[in-house]
Parts: sequence; structure tokens; C-alpha cells
Amino acid sequence: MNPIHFPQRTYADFEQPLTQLMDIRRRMISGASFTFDLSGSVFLSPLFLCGTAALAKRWQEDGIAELELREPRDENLRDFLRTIGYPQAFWDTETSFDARRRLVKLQSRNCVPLIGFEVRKAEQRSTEMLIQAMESLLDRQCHLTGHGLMALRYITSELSGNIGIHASHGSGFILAHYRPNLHCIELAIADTGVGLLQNYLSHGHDVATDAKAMMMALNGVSTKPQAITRGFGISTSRDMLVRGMKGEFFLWSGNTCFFNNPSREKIFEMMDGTTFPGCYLALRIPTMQDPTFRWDQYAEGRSI
Amino acid sequence: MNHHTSIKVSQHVGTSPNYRSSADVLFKAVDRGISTAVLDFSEVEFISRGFADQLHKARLEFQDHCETLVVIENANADVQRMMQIVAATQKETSRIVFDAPVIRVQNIAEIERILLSF
Repeated sequence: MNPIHFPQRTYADFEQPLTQLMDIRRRMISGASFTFDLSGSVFLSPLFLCGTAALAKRWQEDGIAELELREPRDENLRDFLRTIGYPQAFWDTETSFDARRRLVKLQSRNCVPLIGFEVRKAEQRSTEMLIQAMESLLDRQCHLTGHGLMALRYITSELSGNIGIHASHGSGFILAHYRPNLHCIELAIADTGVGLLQNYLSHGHDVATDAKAMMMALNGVSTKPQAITRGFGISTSRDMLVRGMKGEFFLWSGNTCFFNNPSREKIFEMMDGTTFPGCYLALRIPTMQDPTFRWDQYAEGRSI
Repeated sequence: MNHHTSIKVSQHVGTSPNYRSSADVLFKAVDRGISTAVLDFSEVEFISRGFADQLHKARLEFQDHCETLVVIENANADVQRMMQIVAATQKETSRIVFDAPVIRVQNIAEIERILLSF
């Protein structure tokens, strides 16, 4: 078994856990079995954890490897990982009674469990209800109200809903953590599906690279032909989050990733073969709002 | 064709429906051959943009094909606002333009260097 050592900790800034996730992906050599070694870890960001859970699942779906996990020695992290169900996730196929019981137990915590669902069944009632329960739990934990709450719901619904429509196959994952000391919610959404490029290609678009596909997605180009009322998901959510709420946004698909906050927009095309097999989104959603912020000003998809 | 039916939305798709398919679920529950279908949104806290867009399309299609008026009832202000937004963007062609340059890098360390330099 090829051990992949996880970092001792991910730090408080938004970007470092994401480059640490990229580094884990780089070390996951195709075709090789591996062990996630968390024995030396003491704190790992949900952004990092959701991404690594999705990567492990993709390896399993490809029939390449069973995941082995070396648990952390740190008791707090071990307890946290058990609470959120890392890395196996809490699946929508489990009974609604268990789902509700698990979610109720987390009301006094700052995290929601790692939610997993089959992409092909993503639009079924069981997934819809599980995601609604997750959103409701997050609302109660972070005490957002008014336009901030509407923005949180707009963004989570648009971006999680995209998985069922665009991933085609594989699994979806959602993990969120309210971080009161940072005044934000960290939310990660990942899928092990076809990714942006294959999704556009399969709908007849003329696109050759992951970078071009990402530009199309960020510009709100729907995969569906003649669908002028669709394709708003990523573009309006990003605009609402970054320009409206002063939050942070990250998207990675194939060999292209995009870092965005109010002071930077950077798209990188990585040439060392580090790719995300599907789509991975990470968000930092501020919970302290500018009183002039209005979610609906950004939802129409026009530049203000 | 002079009777009407009322559908309690939250009972069919929950209190914050996210998916487009959930909008179609509602119309499957409406009887054909009635004059008015009332969609009762009481207890619905939020609807996603995708749900609202699909609801808009499904409502117009249902009204055309079934000659049944679809009425929205007890929708809160945020739900009504989302419906207004999707209605206003049905013929919208202007979009947010995103045109940042793509930066080619050789490895993750190069990304870290660039991110740290700003």
C-alpha cells in the first residue's frame, strides 16, 4: 500500500488547504492502491476533507483500490471525523429516520455531516430531502438571517443542484463547517463525474480544453442548447459570493483551477498532470454581512 | 371544467426545494381537466433558482396544454422574488462577462508562489 501522508494541519486561510488537496491528488498515482495516513494530523479543513473523500471514492469507482485509512492519533480530530462520517460519507440511501437522528445530534455543533449521493439518483426525493435537512441544520448553526440567509441558500442550492444535472455518473459529496472565529461558512461540493469539459463535449459544444470549458462555465454558458434561461448556477453564485458578500470561491475541474476573491481572479492550467476527475468547488461564505448587500441584485445575472 | 384543486407544495417537495425535477413532481400531482390549480406555498421557506425556472416553464406548459390556470398562493416574499427573477430572465441575453487570462503553470508550487505574491 502506498501511504499518502496527510498534513499535520491545514491553516486558516482559504487557499492553502486547496493547494494541499492538489498535492494529495498529485501523489495519488493512477492504478496504485494507497492508504490515507492521518496519524500525524491534528486539524484538517472541511474543504480539504471533502476533496480527498471524493478522490478516494473515484479511485474505488474505477475499481483501482480500496481505501485504507490510518486514523489520527489526535483524539479531537478522530472524534470530528467520526462525527461527520469521513471518508465514507452519510448516504442518501440510508433511512430518513437515521438521517434525521444524525442531523439532530449535530445541532449544537458547527458542522454538518459529509453527505454522499449517487449522481444518477441526485434528483430523487431522498437526496432532495437530505440536502434540505443539511441546509436547514447549517442555517440553525450559523444564525444567518435576511439577505445573508437567502444568499447562502441560493448559492448552496444552485451549486449542489448542478451535480445532478451535469456530472452524468459517479458520486456527489457536500461538506460544510461553520467557523465562528473566522466569521464564515466553509462549504465544499465535489463530484466524481465527467467534469466540465466532457459535459460540454457531450452536449455538442466545440471546446477542446479544461481551461476553455471553465471559462464557458464561469460565463454562464449552459450545456443545454438554446437554453437561455439556464447556466446561471455558477456565474450568479460566484458573483453573489465574491462581489456581493466579499467571500471566496474556488473551482477545479480537469487540469484547470480558479481562485477568486474580491482582490483576485486567477485561472491556472496545470501542466504536471494534476487533475480533478469531476468537479470540485470550495467556498468561503462570510456570515457578517454588509448591511447594503441584497441577494436579488446578483441573482438576475447582470453586471451591476 | 369548473372545479379546482389545491396542492400543498411542502408536502410534495419539502420546505426548500432545490431541484428542477421537483417542479415537475408538483404538476404530476395536479388532476387534468380542472379549471384552476392552486399551488399552496405555505411553509415553503425558499426555492432555488433552478426550481423556480422549471416551475415557470412547467406552469406555462401546463396552462397551455391543459387549459388550466395555475395560481400561486401563500408564497413568502423571498419565494415571490425568486419567481420574479426567473420570469425577468426568460428572454435575457446579457450575462456577466468573465474574461480573466488563463495562466499556465508547471506545478502546484508555482501556483502557491503566484498566490503568495499578491
